[in-house]
Amino acid sequence: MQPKLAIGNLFLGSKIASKITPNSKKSAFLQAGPICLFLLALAAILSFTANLWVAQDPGYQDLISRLKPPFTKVGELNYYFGTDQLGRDVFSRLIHGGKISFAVGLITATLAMIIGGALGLIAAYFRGWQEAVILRVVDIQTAFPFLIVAIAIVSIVGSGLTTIITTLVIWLWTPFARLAHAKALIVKESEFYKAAISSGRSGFGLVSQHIVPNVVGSMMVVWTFIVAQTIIAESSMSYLGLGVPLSTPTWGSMLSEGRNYLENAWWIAVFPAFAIMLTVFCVNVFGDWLSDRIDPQTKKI
Amino acid sequence: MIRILGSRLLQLILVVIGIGTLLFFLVRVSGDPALAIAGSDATAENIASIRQSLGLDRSILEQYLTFLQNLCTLNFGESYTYLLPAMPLILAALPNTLYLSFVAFLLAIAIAVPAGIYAAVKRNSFSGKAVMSFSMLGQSIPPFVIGIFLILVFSVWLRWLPSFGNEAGLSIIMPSVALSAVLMARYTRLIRAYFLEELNRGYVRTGKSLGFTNARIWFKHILRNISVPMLSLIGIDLGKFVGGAVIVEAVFAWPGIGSLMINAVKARDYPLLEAGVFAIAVMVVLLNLIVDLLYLYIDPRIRAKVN
Amino acid sequence: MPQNNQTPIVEVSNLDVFFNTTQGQLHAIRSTSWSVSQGETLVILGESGAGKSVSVHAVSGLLPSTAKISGSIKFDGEQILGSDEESLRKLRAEKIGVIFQDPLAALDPCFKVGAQIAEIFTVHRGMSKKDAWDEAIKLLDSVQIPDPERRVNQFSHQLSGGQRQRVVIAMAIALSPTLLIADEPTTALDASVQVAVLELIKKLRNERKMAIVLITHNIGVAASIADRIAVMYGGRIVEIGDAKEVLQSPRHPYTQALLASMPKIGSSATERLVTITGTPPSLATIPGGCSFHTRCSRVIAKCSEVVPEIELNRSGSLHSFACHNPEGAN
Repeated sequence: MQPKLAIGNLFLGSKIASKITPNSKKSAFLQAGPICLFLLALAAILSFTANLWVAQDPGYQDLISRLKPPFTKVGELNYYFGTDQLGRDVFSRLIHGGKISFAVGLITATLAMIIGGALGLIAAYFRGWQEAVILRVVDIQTAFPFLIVAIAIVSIVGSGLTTIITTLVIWLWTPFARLAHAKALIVKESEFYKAAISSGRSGFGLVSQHIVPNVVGSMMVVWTFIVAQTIIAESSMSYLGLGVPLSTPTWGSMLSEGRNYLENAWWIAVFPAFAIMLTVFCVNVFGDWLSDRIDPQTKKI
Repeated sequence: MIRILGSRLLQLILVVIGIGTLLFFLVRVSGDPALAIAGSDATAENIASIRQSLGLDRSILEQYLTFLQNLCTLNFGESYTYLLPAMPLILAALPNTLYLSFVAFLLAIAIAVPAGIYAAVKRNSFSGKAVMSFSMLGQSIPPFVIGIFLILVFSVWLRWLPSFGNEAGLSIIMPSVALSAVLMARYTRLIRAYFLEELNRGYVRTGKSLGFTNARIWFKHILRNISVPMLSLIGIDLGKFVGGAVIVEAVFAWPGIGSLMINAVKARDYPLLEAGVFAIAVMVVLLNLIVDLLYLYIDPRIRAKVN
Repeated sequence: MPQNNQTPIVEVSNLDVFFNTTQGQLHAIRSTSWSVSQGETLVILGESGAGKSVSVHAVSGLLPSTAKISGSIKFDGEQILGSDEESLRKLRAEKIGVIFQDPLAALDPCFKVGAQIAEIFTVHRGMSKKDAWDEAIKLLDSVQIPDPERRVNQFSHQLSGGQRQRVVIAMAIALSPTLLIADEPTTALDASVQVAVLELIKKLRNERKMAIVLITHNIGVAASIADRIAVMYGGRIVEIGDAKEVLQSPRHPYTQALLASMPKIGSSATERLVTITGTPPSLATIPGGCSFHTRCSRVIAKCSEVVPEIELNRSGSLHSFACHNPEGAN
């Protein structure tokens, strides 16, 4: 590889790395962003390993013990967060429910990033009709309240994990495409990109070596915000009964069930409400911190 | 001007046809609608006659063409649940949704503008930073979660406000607060960011040198200048806003299009669903058009280019 | 020309300006003193970064809040340093007019130019909208903008650079201020327009008897309009006096070098341009002692240690400079 290009790539790599390394002034780990990331990772791990450590079965119904308030003890069983209208342990359902939120959030955002990013890069690299079509679709989709379409699709096709994820990916690929396209166009104007072209590089190698490193950082920031949006979207749809099948506990469905019991059993709704709120908040705080370091402009999108 | 109208019209047509087609094929693909209407204990003859009355026994192409034709005349058939024409039902519920959305939007702007300016001007003080933290929190709580908390506090504990439907005048308060919260938070942060950028501009210095008060510079000049980028962002937000309205209507049983559509979903009432989606698509495109025209009015530079 | 028996409009004594920056405190302006009287034009001359704008805007209170000012600033005989924001604002409204360098940035792109001028009258004079707009048209006429009735309804982006600057000038003189501050008023304009704008400023000065403080790095501009010139370098005034004297017989080595470096019409093409070795210091890196000593051709040992004092008379044409080793000294 010619020295100029090697330097170009080294420069890019170190630029990204140096952007993520924390300020030397404050301790790296005591800032809000990393703390939130840590908490999220902890919550996710606890959720995914729920089967290993949560005492109660989330689906076990004990109608005698229904609507018990938090910190009730029934015989040997500890109902930390109380029980719901069917006698199920709220705490256990909460932890298990986290699985869906985190899984859908992470998978959807990652798929959306890959697909959206690829389409954005295609639009920027080829220009021409590819760009025209892709950008048009992005425009139309962005303006439209996709939640409505998502509701319609899921209601017609039926609920299920794959349906939800597919629908959400179709909804959320657009910000990635737009960002990738915009950033790629900037790279194409730069000196070392033009140098690479003039030395005969083209196609996949060119894109992956020169364009992708410049785009990745901002994509990560948007990825974080999209995870937040996905968690909100998934819980909204579960609230409406359109999420995954009702046998699996999800925060949204718990909220919807709890809505009717706010008078006498507030805990059924309040705990999942806090769960959703705190999770999304942590994701947003982390995303904010990340964007301050990598690309403050993305906050405006 | 004509170009903008034309472009929006094209967008409207594309959106409507696209979504309509999507729904058309999804409905046919995911199972027999006649079965859904007839119920599980219907005889074969019942099903067949229902199928015939819905026109489902003709070829797909024929059905699609009929569908497009009906689209042009706004004929969405009869709602399965109400046994009345679907589109008029939707249109009857539309004013309630517009009322809710409008109030929520005004609330969001009314709070975000002073809050954003305050956060910008007092950015180094504790209260300025507190505003920013609050808005970060606000942006993280989905509207239906806020709704639940509001109901808990104001309906259940304090018994001040009704939590269902639109019976009383006070009913509008909680749904609109829930709906506006996310937007309010987002705009507070954006206004602060744009405001800070504008503070460095030349005309601010000119205003000071002319002895104008800070209030005049901020609220007349800077606000006018930031309303241009804000407007374009508002346009993008409209879509999400409408989605939020649907969920809030579900939480509060607010009698608007959203509630109607949620019930249609649960009852597999496809005509009503399609009519609702169509109505919302048209509404959003029209709102975007209004935003475009406002843009034209507010920024004289764009007006000059257009003329 | 100055009227000798009056108190000067602005009297600055021992002005120091400090800026609080993340790298510590920056001593930007060091002990400068100058004054300007009614009808008089003082030009502050110097290269970029010499502190010209900072020292002048300290008078109008337009410095950022990170600035700390000490010394004495008297306006119309009254001490204004340390006044509260409200009094300074009133001063800026009624008594001081400012022209900035970039006319496009100085105007609000969302409002018609007429509206911006009219605003001055509706706010400060309580005029009705109609009266204010009429005044605006009259003002545009007085700054020599042709077809003012049409122009008044246009936006800043529809005007040429020279016209925009005229609008800015109109706004600055709208309420007949006693002091006009012009901060590089012609720098951003095309050469052909610069002369016209300068002539306009002169005409307005003569009509309204304003005191003018004009900041520039352009010796030609200074020569054209100045009654007195103050030469600044490295945050200090190094020479100050009657314009003719400073330009024809400069005493400070910096002034001499500055004037010598100006290309002269009629000089042959093969003559080398005279330059001053080195580059002007940023306000953060001013050398100790005399700020110019590192580039001075007449430097002696004392220059790097002791700041040379300037001898000033209040107003009047006495020519003063600050140098340990001026030409012809013993």
